[in-house]
Amino acid sequence: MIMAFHFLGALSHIQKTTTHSTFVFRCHRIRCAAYTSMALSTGAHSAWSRALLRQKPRRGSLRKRTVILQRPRKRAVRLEEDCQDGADVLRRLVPGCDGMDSAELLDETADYIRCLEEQVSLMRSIVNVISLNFNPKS
Amino acid sequence: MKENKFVLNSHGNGCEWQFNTAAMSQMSQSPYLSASIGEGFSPGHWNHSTTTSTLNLGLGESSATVNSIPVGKPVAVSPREMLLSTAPKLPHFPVDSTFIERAARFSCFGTGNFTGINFFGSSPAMASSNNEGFGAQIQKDDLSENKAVLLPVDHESFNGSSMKKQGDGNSQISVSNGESHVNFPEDGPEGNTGSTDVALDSSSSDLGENKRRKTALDIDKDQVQGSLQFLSQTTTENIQNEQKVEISSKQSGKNGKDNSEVAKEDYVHIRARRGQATNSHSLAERVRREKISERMKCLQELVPGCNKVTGKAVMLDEIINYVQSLQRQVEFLSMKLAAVNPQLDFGGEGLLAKNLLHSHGGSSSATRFSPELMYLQAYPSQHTLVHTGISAMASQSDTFRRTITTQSTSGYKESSMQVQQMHIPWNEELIMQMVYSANPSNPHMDSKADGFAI
Repeated sequence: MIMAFHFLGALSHIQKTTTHSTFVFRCHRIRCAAYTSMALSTGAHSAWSRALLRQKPRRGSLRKRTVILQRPRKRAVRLEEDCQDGADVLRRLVPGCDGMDSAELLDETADYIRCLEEQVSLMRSIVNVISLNFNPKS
Repeated sequence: MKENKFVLNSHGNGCEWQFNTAAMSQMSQSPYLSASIGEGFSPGHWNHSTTTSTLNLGLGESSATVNSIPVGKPVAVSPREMLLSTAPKLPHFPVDSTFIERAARFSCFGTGNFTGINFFGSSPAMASSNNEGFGAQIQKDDLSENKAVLLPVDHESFNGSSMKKQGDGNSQISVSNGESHVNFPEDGPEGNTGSTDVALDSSSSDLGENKRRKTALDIDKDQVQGSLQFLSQTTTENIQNEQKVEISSKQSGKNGKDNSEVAKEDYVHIRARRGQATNSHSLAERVRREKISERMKCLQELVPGCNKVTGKAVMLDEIINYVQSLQRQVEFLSMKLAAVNPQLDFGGEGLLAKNLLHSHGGSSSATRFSPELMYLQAYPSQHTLVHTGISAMASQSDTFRRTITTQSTSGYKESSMQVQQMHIPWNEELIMQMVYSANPSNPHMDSKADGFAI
């Protein structure tokens, strides 16, 4: 719900401000808006959302949230014994999980997956609505 | 207050525990136990009891390293199951300090499944295991759980006499009194070495489980059951068992056996398995590994189609693939939105009106999107959300507010199903809203977002 509000707001903002931009640029902006709305809806209790908010201070309200204490880096990166490669890849995929050990990494991944799924379904429905709105009129 | 705690009605647990009010008055010394028993069935309390109580089972036996994870919920369930399975035969509880002690002790050696937090693993076995003379036979797991929960109970001086008063009718603690007898060298304080098999010989965790097993003597379910029943039963034997359990735990620690009880602290307590090293490093490793496997299970549920996958490596690959696919979908959908955006003016009137009337952009975009439409139809639940979202931008419609209210109250997944009926007529409304609405005001949206903050 929160995600929808943020994302739609961002979409309208992009719509207004990038009428003369290239398609690629707008794609990039929309993607950033998607991730930002994901992070906003999650809040600051996830490392990946904090990392996303740090990267993309799109709105004024975000800047306040970027002042979030960095999670103290734990002593060592406790990789799983036999899955270090997988853990590394996962660390690259999920933002903000560099210094984490496997347990926290998996936690963040679960949270990230949930949010991603929500965002994807939201975007799909938006596209669907827009398409449906267009098609009947055509 | 303690009286209230101890009055466990069968309503909730299926068994009736009736504590003597008099006995309860004696429980002043053991607030933790009362809390644990009375509130044991509420998850939160367990944690409280486990963490706050300073179960001094070992009375200073540092070697004991039985770590009981103060897990609230599993613990809460196990005693319930235990009670349910065990025929409640105890009309009265020896509500007194000694009882509490025993409870604590029993919980101590029960700590079988803390690490795995599989408290309920053995619950089904409970019923079957009741072969002892004692009433409820609680599986070791349950017993361990119980014990774990009760661990925080302070070990108080055991008053055998006080226990005897309680009468033992119900208490048939399967503390294998007649069964395996764990010889606790230190029976002194209790005075009843007897059959207290509550062989909480922490050292040996038989069956290779995390629970504390009785030592060489038939540590088995009896003890576990006994510890569980201990709660429900108040027999001198139980008391003795408790003490013995405690003693055994102490001794096991002293002997440097595997299982060892430790004073309950705020960190995670684990019980070492039989045959495993008990140094702190390996224990910590085991805790870590179990944490990881626990999280992998959660992820397995999240990622579709991973129920049959076993093994961390394969599971990790699946997770990585899923995350990558989700990110790719986000990119693809953002491309779509970028393409369709020029034709859709969320705030402006002119463009939207043009689209409505001419749909010149729509056709081009429609051709692009038509292959997707069938697929997108599969996500109707989001439509209402989108509708509300889009209308939120317009912030003008009553239906929007109604929908929002519906969604906020019932959760958008459910309400979406109801509102789906409005999907088609909403299209028109939405477009009209978008056409005639002023520029969407972000502050307004934000306020609404706050109102609907989940």
